[in-house]
Amino acid sequence: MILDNKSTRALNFFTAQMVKISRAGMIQLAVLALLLLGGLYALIIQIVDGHIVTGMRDNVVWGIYIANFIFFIGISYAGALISGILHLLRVPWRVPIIRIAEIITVISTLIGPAYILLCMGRLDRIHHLPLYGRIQSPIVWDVLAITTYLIGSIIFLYLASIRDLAALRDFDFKSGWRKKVYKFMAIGFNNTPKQNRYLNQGLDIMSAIIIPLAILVHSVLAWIFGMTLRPGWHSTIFAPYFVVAAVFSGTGVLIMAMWAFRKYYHLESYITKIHFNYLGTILMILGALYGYFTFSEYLTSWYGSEKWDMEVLYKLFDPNEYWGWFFFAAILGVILPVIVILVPKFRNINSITAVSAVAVFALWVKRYLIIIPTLETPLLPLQDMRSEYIRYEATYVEWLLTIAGVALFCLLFFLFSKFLPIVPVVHVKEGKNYAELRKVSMKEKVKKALRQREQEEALKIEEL
Amino acid sequence: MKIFVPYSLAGLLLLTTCLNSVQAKEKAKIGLSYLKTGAEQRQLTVEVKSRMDNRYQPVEGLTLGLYLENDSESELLGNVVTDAKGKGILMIPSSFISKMNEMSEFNFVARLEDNDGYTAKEKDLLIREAFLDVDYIIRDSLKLIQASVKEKDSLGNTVLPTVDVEIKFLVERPFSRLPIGGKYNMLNKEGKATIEFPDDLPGDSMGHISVVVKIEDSDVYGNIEKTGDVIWGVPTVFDDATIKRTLWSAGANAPYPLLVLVNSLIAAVWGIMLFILIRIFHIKKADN
Repeated sequence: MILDNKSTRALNFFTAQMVKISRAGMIQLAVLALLLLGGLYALIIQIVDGHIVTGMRDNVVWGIYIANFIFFIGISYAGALISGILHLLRVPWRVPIIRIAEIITVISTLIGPAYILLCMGRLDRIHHLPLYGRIQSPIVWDVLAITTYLIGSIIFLYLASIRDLAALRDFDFKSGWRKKVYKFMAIGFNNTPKQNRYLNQGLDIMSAIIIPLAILVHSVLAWIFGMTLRPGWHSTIFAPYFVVAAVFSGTGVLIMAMWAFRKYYHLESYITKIHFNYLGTILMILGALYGYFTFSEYLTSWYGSEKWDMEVLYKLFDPNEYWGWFFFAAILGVILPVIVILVPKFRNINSITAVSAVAVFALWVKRYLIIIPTLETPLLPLQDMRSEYIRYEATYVEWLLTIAGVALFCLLFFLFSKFLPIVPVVHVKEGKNYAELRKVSMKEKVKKALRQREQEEALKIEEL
Repeated sequence: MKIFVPYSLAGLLLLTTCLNSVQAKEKAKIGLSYLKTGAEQRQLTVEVKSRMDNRYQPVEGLTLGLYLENDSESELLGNVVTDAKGKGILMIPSSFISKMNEMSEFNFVARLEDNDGYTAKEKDLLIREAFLDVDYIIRDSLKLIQASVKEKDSLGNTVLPTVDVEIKFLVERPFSRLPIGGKYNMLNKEGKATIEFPDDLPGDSMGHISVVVKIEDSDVYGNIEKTGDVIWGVPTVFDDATIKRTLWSAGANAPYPLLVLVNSLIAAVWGIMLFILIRIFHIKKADN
């Protein structure tokens, strides 16, 4: 496939990084492998001894596994919505970030459902779900929706990568396996007008269906909670609330991943401050929207004063129970990103990334607070019970498996970046606008440097 | 002295190992109960538990012999193997029933032989034979159930009324048995207990209701149970049509609108994805 100069330069830049692993990379891999081994150890303990090794009991039947599941499905929104919408709108600055977003979607949609399997008591009966599942159950809808979403996300990522796969196929790699794999995956793409037409058509259609599919997946997930008559769950706004929370956390993880790859692969010329500013603005808007939903949800519940809803609310507002975490998840985790991004003085790449990390962690805590306090508030009061049957506390097994999930996410991301350029290298026509943006960014930098020099000279003159 | 020390240590090691192997045998706790549901239908239930992890847990796969004993002889009724719940049930063979019909007391023994895992243990259960009769009476528009229990005298005649024993009256419901009558129904001097049958219990379409009268977990008589059918219920016809296709019915009876919606969505999305997969194939073909 014939490439223009810019694409060739980008290809050379990324392939050089793909074939080698630096010392820092090796250390990171070793740490991730260690964390995964810890998870494997915990998994073996859980399989051998059963769920008694977790903090889950008859009353609190869902723990941090389900919080992790919702969290990972939530961050998968990064690819689905951001990449899908930006592609449909032909937003020029999307090019360097869409692949990161799409990879986040695929990896998190793979890891998230694994926590459901960890939560299930009888994995040997998992085939009963397709065989005897009730189509009326939101859990069955969830299985159908997530499976479809995963396949759709993989197809979307693959379609968006075909041009790069073709470029890699024609690159002179020393490794034999790479040539074979790229050749197979590039499916004979040679940038002919007909092939481009088919590819663009596929990308446009997938961008269009991945958005409603993603909304449906998280709505279904919310309905699992919303359609039960439990305090704190039975809410009509749960579906849009979950969707907004998911996009909020997905955008946060995308910013964090951009920051990490920018540092690790020295992508300063590809992922610029503009991308952080734009995504930061999206994060801020979503944060405000999420804050609005949170306020509306708890205000309605508080004003209604229904007995069991109030029981859950008292727990969330009790300093001896969940108030600290609730304050962090529902207030600090919303206000901090909004303020830092809103005030230009605070806004820079590192601060945007830092508040994204705060927002992402706050969203994980929020998922925990959705699940646990409600399950600790049964509709039939429990008396004379051991405290562990009423109060949930995650055990070291659950924590090890949670950390292993995050480690697996990072590891798969790292391995993917060694297989495919983390930023699309083959530029298509619409990518020119992005280049212009970079020029604008450079012009701003030059202007800033000139202003700074003028100020320094003025100071010198004053001193003289 | 130099030789004595290693030999002593080796001996100590051997002794410790032997002691450990002896101590490794668990002690089983055996429970034995008797149930009579008719003159010809009697069963023995064995339950074996063992203390593990500071609590008693059922033991699976143990074989126990069940015996009918008297002063002079011990006859094997049969062997049972405990299931996952630690239980084993033996229907007493008919060959023994005729013999038991002539007796007024039975001494059952459940015996666990010494094996690799458990030390020998046995549990005996002394049961006095009692006969439960149930009469269904309608008196002055009242529906009554009268249970009478008798036992054998020294001559072997069934004449003695059984007194001061609690008796339960239950009706079969879809998920469990519903107690009827008073909270405690005791047999009187004549060995009888009578309760009034409630007139508002739903039955089947004809009003049939299954009644169970039982003596439960008596230390003297064990479990005795008798069932019967009465047409005293309120005839109830369930209109299946109204609940056939609901959100809470079985998967096969899901509401049609839901089926149409879900299947349309699946078909639409997967249809589009199939179209895109075909497009990928076209890309490959277009290379030629």
